[in-house]
Amino acid sequence: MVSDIKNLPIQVRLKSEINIEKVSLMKAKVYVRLKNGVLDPQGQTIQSSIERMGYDFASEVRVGKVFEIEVKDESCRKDLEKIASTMLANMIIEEYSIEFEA
Amino acid sequence: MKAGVVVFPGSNCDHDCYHVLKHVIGAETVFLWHKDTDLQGVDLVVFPGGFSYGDYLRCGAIAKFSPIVSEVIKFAENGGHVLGICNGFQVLTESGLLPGALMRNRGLKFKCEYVNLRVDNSDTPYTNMYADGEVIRIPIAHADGNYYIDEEGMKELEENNQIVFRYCDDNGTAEDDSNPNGSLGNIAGIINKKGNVLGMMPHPERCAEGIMETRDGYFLFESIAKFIGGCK
Repeated sequence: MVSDIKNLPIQVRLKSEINIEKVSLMKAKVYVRLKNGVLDPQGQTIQSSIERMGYDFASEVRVGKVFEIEVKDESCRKDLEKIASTMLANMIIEEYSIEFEA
Repeated sequence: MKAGVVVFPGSNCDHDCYHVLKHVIGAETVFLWHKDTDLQGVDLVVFPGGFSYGDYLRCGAIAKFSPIVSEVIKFAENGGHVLGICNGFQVLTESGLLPGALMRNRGLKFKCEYVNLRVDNSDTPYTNMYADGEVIRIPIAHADGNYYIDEEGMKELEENNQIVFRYCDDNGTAEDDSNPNGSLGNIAGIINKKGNVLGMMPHPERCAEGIMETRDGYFLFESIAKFIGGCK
């Protein structure tokens, strides 16, 4: 496969190589959410809007964040934990979890 | 007293603080750029209000990684005086110089109005010109001023007399109907245990001269100027 690419014109070749690189990437997803017991006025407002839409099944809404980070492999987990706990989440009010997705 | 006002991209009360410190108080005052690491020998560092780094991620969250803040953390640990106003208060909690966190206002709205504050601790370098229990009027302007701390932290704040300002009514009663943002315990401003770092959501620099609606903020700056000394 790689040797085939080398025979292609440079513009096509670069594109193919980038695509190959992209295929091998995976996604780290860092979820940040408010801790239990921390009031979430945004969530409450959204919940009451859901009720106004006529649905009555939602008993609580909590708003969080997802950070999608492209990474090579899962070896960055430890570093991501450091990044999440010192920057992405404020550990006084929030907690985080990390998932990897191929 | 030599004062330094930190300028982050997005700070917008930096010139107000500079004006009050330099022209009203008469202190030698410099701006401290966020990329700098030289505090220029200042005695007081002010983190001003505004929207540092566009309030991206959380208010004050990105600022804590700026070169100047690392220096200010060392400065504070060595006893240097640091005052954080509004976004500056958020920078102080995010960087760990003050406990707790500032969350979105309970009503989800940006609140820009005069509020009453009760001075609960006049025995600090920043409030020695006020009296305990005095009600002062200082404006707020924020969307994320809802102070939160866990139960244990709150106990510690109260035991060490670290709560300096509380939102209150005209009579000095700090109850829910005089709470503009949902802050626990109506907290508007706190000081660290050592007593050198103060953070507050209201803007004393916006009411430090006779032409303003009140002049109640002036005495905060005069307090710290007198405490450090060497002005005028």
